Amino acid sequence: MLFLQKFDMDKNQLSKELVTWLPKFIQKHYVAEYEVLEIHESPTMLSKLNSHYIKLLPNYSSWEFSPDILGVLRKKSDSTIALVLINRAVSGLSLKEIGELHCYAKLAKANFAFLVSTSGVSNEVNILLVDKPIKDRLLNFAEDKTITIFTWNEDTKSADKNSVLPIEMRNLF
Amino acid sequence: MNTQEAYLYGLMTGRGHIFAANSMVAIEFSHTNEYVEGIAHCPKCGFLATKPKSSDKDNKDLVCKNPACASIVNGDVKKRYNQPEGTLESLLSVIIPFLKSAIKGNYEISGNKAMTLLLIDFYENKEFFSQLREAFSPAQSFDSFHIPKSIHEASQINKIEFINGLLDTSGFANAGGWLNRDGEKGHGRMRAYFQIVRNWSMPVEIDNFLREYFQLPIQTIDWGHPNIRDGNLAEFYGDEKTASWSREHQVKFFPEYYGIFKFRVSTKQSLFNELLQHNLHAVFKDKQDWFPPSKFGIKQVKAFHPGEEDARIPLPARRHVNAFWQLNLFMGCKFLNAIRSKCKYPEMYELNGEDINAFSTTNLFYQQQSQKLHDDIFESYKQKKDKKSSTTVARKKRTTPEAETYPPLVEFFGNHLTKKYSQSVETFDTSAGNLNAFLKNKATDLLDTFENCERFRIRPDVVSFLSKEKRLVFIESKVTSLDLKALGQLVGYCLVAKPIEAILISTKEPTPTFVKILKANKQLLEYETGKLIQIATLKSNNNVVFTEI
Repeated sequence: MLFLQKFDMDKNQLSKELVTWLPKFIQKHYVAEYEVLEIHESPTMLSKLNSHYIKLLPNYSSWEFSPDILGVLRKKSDSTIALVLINRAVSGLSLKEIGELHCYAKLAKANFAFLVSTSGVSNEVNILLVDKPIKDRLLNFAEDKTITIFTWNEDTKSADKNSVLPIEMRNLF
Repeated sequence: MNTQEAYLYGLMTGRGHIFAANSMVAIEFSHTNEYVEGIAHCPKCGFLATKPKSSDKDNKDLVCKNPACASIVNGDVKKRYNQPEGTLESLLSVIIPFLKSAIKGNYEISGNKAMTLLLIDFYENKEFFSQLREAFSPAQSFDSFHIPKSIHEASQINKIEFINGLLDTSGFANAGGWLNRDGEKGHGRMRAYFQIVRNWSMPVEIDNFLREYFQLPIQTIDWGHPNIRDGNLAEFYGDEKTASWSREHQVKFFPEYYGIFKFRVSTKQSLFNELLQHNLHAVFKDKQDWFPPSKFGIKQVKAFHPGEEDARIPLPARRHVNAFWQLNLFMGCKFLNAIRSKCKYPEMYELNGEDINAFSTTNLFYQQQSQKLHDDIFESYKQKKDKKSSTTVARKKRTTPEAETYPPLVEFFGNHLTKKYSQSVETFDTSAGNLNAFLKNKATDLLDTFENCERFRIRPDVVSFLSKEKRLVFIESKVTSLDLKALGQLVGYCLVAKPIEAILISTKEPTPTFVKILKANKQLLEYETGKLIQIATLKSNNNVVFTEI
């Protein structure tokens, strides 16, 4: 059930479960568009990551940050590389975590950005994200690209559909 | 109006928000604790069993309150209710289907362990949304709503549904809130309550609504007023920096009179039933309605509290009171005002509930007593603090190196911004607690901005207020090299609060790599069109040097 996660899951365990989840998610919803090439758990700074694909991307040397999980995809239509950034937490997500991922996703021109917590978003962020102008400012890191936030259910090892924000993304979960 | 609409108005009145720009409403169902426990009854005699004050935290044993029994009762006899689970199930299987049956909208649920949020999108039902907005206009959120006029004019069935909605969002049944009273067949009188957050009109509106249309008693209103909640000034002169007294009001009632209403949130209803059954079994005959209030004398006079003048208190209640019912009167209770209007000496009635010609002398007498009580308490805290500070000086010092940067930053930005904007600028270390005091006493016109920042936990290390523009400046301080993580955190605050300036500062100069990244990607600094976060260094001489990006 929604919201029933315990606090006992540690971050590493959550990372491992998300590493398993990501390719399945892409396979399920974007199989026609993307192929999963690599998944990196707790990578070093992306600017220093030893990945052939990353080094093909413009400005990668500026990517002085480490997301918790990095997915490298190939776009089937034109073989270009696309990135998935995931940050995760076990406590309630606040503006700080959203701002941080917003910054990373904007810099790396990511195609997907997910912010995941076993505790969901904090009360105050929940209300803020109902306000469309604030939600757009906080979550949209590029035109037509938004950070997707969700609660990770430890029991089912999956995203809680009812927790997914923005709501428009729920049809993918 | 149909019953579903009346119920929705009740939900909204309790914890609703209106988002006019997106034709949406959001309704909070708060459940701060994941589990709540029911009442423990002694298996031998059926009396209430409670935890002795002396027992340690891990000891589950309770003691029967019946002096003739006094058995040890295992704490496991209490039922446990999972609030998030109960709320979610009730929303999905009862509340949403009920609302949907008559009100067209797109219903969604969001939330976390502490709160479940019901979101209703009225994009395809603009007519109803407009009617709902009008009902609460011009207010946008529950902290400033009034009971809609249409509810006062509604049928009795719809009035009941309104209260049902109000109970589901702002009503709480809590086994720990019992009064120390003896019934004919049991001890402890259980109470439920409406929890009213930051809305000073609503407690009296609810009281008067229930009294006028249902002739129901209210046991008391526990106002979030300094004289009521912090009467002994423990919070003000003690260790607490924040004024927690201002958070909420509680309208308390005995469940046995409220059986005509129902909670649709199953966990709340189950707890309410436990409280109700307990009181019915214990048999209490006195209604214990606060109205009409009793007059009081010098013994009930409370100490003067500096928070009485807090700008968050609305003007009618921004004063000294000695009894909660005085606040009911000042906040517009029609029943008390009816009595006062018939008084020969209304001023005296306001003062202590009497109608005699003695206002001037009694008032002076009360004021002197109030001041004396305050001074005695103040002196006692001062002595305690002096004693403590002589032994714990080392402990009081700031422990984080980051915090040591705040005083020089306060000084620098106070001067810098005053010159830059040619106006008075107040700058605060938000961790020092003086921001609260400033806002309370001098910056009432900034209170809303500040309250919003508090509500959304936007707390940069140092904040400046521009007195003319009424705008904020955020300063986030680090003692490590600045990086994208630190920048992103400030970006989060800025995207919501849109300060006039935002500065990310460190005692370490920004690395050439970081500067290079920002120069090549200025959009990372932009939080509003034309407004960029500035990067700066706090030098060892306490000067601040800005880095050109």
